[in-house]
Amino acid sequence: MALSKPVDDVLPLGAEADALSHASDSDQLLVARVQAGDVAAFDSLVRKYRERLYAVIYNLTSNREDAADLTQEAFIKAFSSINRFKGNSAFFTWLYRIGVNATLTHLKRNRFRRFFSLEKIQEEGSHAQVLEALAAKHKSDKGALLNELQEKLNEALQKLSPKHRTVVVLFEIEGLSHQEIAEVMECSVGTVRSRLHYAKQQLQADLQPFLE
Amino acid sequence: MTPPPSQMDQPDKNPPVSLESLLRIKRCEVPDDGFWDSFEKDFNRRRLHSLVKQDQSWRLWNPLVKWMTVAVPALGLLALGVLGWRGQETSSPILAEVATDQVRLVMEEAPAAVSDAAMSVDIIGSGPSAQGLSSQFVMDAIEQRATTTHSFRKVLYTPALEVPVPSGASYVRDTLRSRSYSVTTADYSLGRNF
Repeated sequence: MALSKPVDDVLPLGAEADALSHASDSDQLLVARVQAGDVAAFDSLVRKYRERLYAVIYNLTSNREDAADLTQEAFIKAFSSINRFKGNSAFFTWLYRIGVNATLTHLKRNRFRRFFSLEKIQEEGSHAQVLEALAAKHKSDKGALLNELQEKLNEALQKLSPKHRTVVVLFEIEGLSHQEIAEVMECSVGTVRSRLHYAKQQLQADLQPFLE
Repeated sequence: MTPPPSQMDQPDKNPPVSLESLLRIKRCEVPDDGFWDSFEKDFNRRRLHSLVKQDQSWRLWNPLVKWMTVAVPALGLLALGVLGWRGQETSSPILAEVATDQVRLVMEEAPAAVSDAAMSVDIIGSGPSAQGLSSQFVMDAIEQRATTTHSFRKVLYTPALEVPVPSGASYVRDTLRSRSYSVTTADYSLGRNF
C-alpha cells in the first residue's frame, strides 16, 4: 500500500493498518484545515507527498525538469480545487489522479518531443544485491552496469503506452494496490490487472539481457 | 553422481534477477536534497501567482459581475430590439438620427383628440433665427397609450413662431423635421429630455 511504504521497515504487519488509517485521518484533518482557509496546512500535505508524487511523474516522463514542473502543477491544481475534494477517496489517491492526469496530458501533447533527463541512482540502496548479481553475471564494472541498466530501464518504460507505463510505475515502483491504481486511473481493477500483465510481458522482452 | 561443489554453488551465487527487482532499482532514482529547496521556492512562487490569477478571475466571474457581463449586454440588445420593433410599428426609423435640439414636453396631459393635420404657418418676423426655416408647421397631438411606453409624434416648431395650442393638445419643439418617438412612462412623467 502506498502510505505504508515509509513505515514498512519499522512497523510489524499488525500495526500497518493502524498506521494507514492514522495517516488517512491526519490527511483528512489537514484537508479540512485547508478547506477552512489554512494555507499552511496545505504546505504540510505538500511536504508529505512531494517525493512520492515526484517519483510517479518522474518515472512516467523520465525527465527530471518536466517532473518537477508537473509535480508543482499538480499541487497547485489540488490546492485550487481542494474545496471539491469530498473525501470519498483517500487524499493521496485524489492527488495522484491529478498528477497522473496532468502527466498523461503532457505526454500526449509532447509525444514527438521526448528526451531523458535522469536522476542519479543513489549508491546505497536495495538494488545492491541485484547489481552485485548482474555484475558477476556480466563480468562488468558495477558503475558502468548501473548506468547501462538505468538507461535500458527508462527506455523500456518509455516504449510502453502511457497508460501501461502508469500501471507499472504505480504497482511495481510505487507499490500501490490494484484497487488504488484503479481509483487513480478511474478504471476497473480488471483493466489494471490486464494492463499490468501486458506491460510486464513487454518489459520482460525488452529487458531480457538482464534477466537471463 | 553429485556435481562438483563449484557447480553446486553457482546458482546460489547468481540467483536469477526478476523483472520486479530490476524495476525496483528505479526507486533509487531520487533527486538530491538541494532539489527540494528550489522546488519549494518555485512552488510558492507559482502558487502565489495562481492565487492572484484566481482572485482576478473570481472578480471577473463572481455572480454579480457574471450577471452584469452577460445580462447587461443582453438587456441592451433586447431593449434595442424592442425599440426597433416599436419604431417599425410607428413607421419611422427611431434610431436613425438623434435630434440635435432638445425636445421639451409642453403639456403632459393627453389630448382630448388626436389630430394629424398639418397646417401651413407663416413665419413671424425676419430675424436671423427665422432665416432658412420652413414655413411648414406640422402639428400632431401626443398619443398616449395605456402601456409603459408612449408613442408620439413631434411637431415642427420654429422658435420664431407663436402658435396658439388648441386646448387639450400637446406638442414638442424640435428642429424642422418630424420624427416619431417612443419613451418610457418614467421619462415621460419626469419630463426628461430625449
